[in-house]
Amino acid sequence: MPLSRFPITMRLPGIALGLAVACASALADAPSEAELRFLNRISYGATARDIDDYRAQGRDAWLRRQLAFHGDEGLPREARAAIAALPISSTRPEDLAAKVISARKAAQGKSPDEKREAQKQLRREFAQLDFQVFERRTLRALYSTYPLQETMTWFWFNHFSVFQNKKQVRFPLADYEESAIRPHVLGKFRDLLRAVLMHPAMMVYLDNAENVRGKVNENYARELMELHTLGVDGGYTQADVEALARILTGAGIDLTGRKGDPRSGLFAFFPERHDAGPKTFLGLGFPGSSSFAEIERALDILCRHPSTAKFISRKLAVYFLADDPPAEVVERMAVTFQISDGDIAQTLGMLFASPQFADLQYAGKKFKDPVQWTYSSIRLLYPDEVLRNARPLAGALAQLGEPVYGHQTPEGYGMKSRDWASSDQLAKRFQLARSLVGARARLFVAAGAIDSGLDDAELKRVRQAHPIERTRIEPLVVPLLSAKTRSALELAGDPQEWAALVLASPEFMHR
Amino acid sequence: MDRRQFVRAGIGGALALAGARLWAAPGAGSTKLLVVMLRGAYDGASLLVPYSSDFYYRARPGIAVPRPDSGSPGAAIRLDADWALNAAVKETLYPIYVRKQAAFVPFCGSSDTSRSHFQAQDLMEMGRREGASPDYSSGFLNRLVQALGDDPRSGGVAFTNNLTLALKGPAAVPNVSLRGGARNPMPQGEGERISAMYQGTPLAAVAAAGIETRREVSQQLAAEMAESARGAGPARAFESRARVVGRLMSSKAAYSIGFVDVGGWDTHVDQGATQGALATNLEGLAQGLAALGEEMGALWASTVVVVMSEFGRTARENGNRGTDHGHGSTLWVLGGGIAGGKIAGAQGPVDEAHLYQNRDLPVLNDYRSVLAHLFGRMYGLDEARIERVLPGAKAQSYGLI
Repeated sequence: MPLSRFPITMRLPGIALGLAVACASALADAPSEAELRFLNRISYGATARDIDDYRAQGRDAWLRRQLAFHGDEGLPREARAAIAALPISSTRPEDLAAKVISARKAAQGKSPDEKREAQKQLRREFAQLDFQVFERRTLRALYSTYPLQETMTWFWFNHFSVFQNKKQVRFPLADYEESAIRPHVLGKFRDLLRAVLMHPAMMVYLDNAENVRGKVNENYARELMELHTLGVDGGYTQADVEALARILTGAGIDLTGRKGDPRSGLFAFFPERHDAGPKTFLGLGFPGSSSFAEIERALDILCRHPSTAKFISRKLAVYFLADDPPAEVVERMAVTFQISDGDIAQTLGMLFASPQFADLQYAGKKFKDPVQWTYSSIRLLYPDEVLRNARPLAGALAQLGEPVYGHQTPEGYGMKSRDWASSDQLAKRFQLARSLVGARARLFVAAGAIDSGLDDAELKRVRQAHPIERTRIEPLVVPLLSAKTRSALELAGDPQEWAALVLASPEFMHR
Repeated sequence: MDRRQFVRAGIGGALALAGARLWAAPGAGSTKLLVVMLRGAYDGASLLVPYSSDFYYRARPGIAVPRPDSGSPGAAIRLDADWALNAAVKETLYPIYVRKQAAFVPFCGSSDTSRSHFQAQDLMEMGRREGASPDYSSGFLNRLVQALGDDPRSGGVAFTNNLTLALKGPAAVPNVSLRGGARNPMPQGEGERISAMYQGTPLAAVAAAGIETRREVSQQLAAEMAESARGAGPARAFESRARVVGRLMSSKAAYSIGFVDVGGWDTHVDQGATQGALATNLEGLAQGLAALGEEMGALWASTVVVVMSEFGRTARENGNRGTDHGHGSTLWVLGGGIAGGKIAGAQGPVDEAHLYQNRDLPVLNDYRSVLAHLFGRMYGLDEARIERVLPGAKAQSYGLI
């Protein structure tokens, strides 16, 4: 949606200038614990601006707007410009594929050494792709005034996780997040599932590109049921895996982007590679046909299956509410999912409206995953100036075990305390807390300038230009801190030490 | 003679014999256990090759490992009348087997039949009774730590980025990530302030362990990682990790029950035979374990390494010269003091008639029963304590110790 259709001045009359990033917003009244608990769980950590928006619009209206997808409309101008400047913003997977094809052609008849050199060249060119996708995601996660769509982007990407280092997954990666995942994060689950299936990243990652008539590969079929829809106890058998694998034969990729019916970008369905024999899937007869309609029907069956409603609802509740969410909440969400034909926004709306979500006994109990902890640290400390260099954040996430697009296996990263709350994890966060405060200058200097060698005086100047504003930060965290944490904080010598202790505190590890 | 040469000589020599007397001597403080989990279900039949089976060669026309007597360059190494070893591990694992410090248990695995990596790995790490529903409250290694109580050999440690399920539970166990990086020491005052904030919270022990481990190990770890990774390519990545594990376990009395995992085994496509993706992985793994043996030094004689995976892969190759999720697999046991050089446990024919669901190699040996045998002998645990660690595991001897 173009920005002009939602002028920023309309959105927040009176404090429109608050959006200009350089102008820090200050709160008239300190937020309450309940406000913080609510916003901290929906976003990557409440900022003063979120609280302003929330108060100006009222809870219901704010939530309603959050539950729709707004693209990059809620981003400050600098962040939008930074995203536009990324090479991935002007490169389609087709362009990258064309490069691969022409490199292959050029290599014909060349010596092995020359071929290797050409391959190396190509690899260098593709090496930064995943980092650019991370930069784009980070800018959105940190600065959008629609934080829910950004946490949901993480959620669904993780649900349909792909690993950037497997085969050629890396070059459709940017488009996978942008075109297959993002437009549907708050839409219909059926559309999301179809967009993921019809994307080369998933076809390559789970080997369906190799799944053809007579040479069946059941990798994607199994994960499509176990991880994407029904869940491992969702009531399917090995025979269903084999039947679904046959239904999925013929769905793959075509690097020229010209073959297949249907096709979409580099995705292609090849009727001649499809097993057109009759099948029985989840108790339902498939008479057999060589058209893509068989796959569409299988997706319909999976999306309408009660196990899917329950599996997806529970996973959402685990992410937003509790490691072991109350059955009645999951049940109500699952009913909503089913009667709304898999409407994600309505299902989430049911969760956020539940008495349990408002009940403070559930708040502050979810241990943040590394992405949540890292992003919430930046949003707390430096909410107002757009980051120039995301490398320290990518480094932090790699250290904390949640490397960017780096989950090798298809189940994605865990979302529970037991997945993250280990001694090594805490020790690393204590260390990173200090460096996110002490080495903050690196966040606000372009990576290129750091590589070419900045002198200490320049780094010091940047650091001083980004002071730790204790009085601004306090209202956003102090209401959540225990008496023990508060008294430890009193011993902090200066604002830097104070801020590092805040990030290291048990309350900040949770949301 | 530098340390490593000395160690290498020691492994092949008299220490191996002396090892046998060290078992089950509580208080010795020297028994070391390392569980190596191969995540993604490695293809056991490509490592320990059932070469006497005609079915194996019919079922895998594109990826079978050639027979020992085939004269082919990639011919497997004959171990006995039925089994042979993939030539990719000829220089690494095979010599250990020849020294009788390695044994294999084929047809091994769990009772889980979901063929889901994630469920099967979790259940395997939990180590609960057959058919019991998932219970994340503790893993079998944590229960082993508890069962050993004050025994000085009871210190657990996970060499994983996050505490692995096998070591989760009531006993507080630290994890040491091998994804190190240089770390500055934490100032004393800061550690105290952080500990004070965590006092009385559910994470108090975890935070304290983090600060403590950091102080004790991190500096050493950073140095070791830098040294051992020198010049190492990706194929050697496990070797450098394994060396660090060996050094830490041999130098720290508190690190006696360890766990490390290795990924990349889910070979649905082009898995290869003596060369290719799987062979490269096996070679890297075997190289790493040989290096670990060196680093354990004299303690190798009282060290047991168990290598296991959540399930096996299909007996037949699939349409893409790979294999899909199966059932029975091959477990490895390594150690300077074990009764190795043998294929242990129950065996059956590898043919169509004896496949599980006409698809996979069956499970004839419960991995929990193998572990129960090892733990019983290593630590002198009685039946009641074994029952607490691995409830319902059938007590039987595999003759490995």
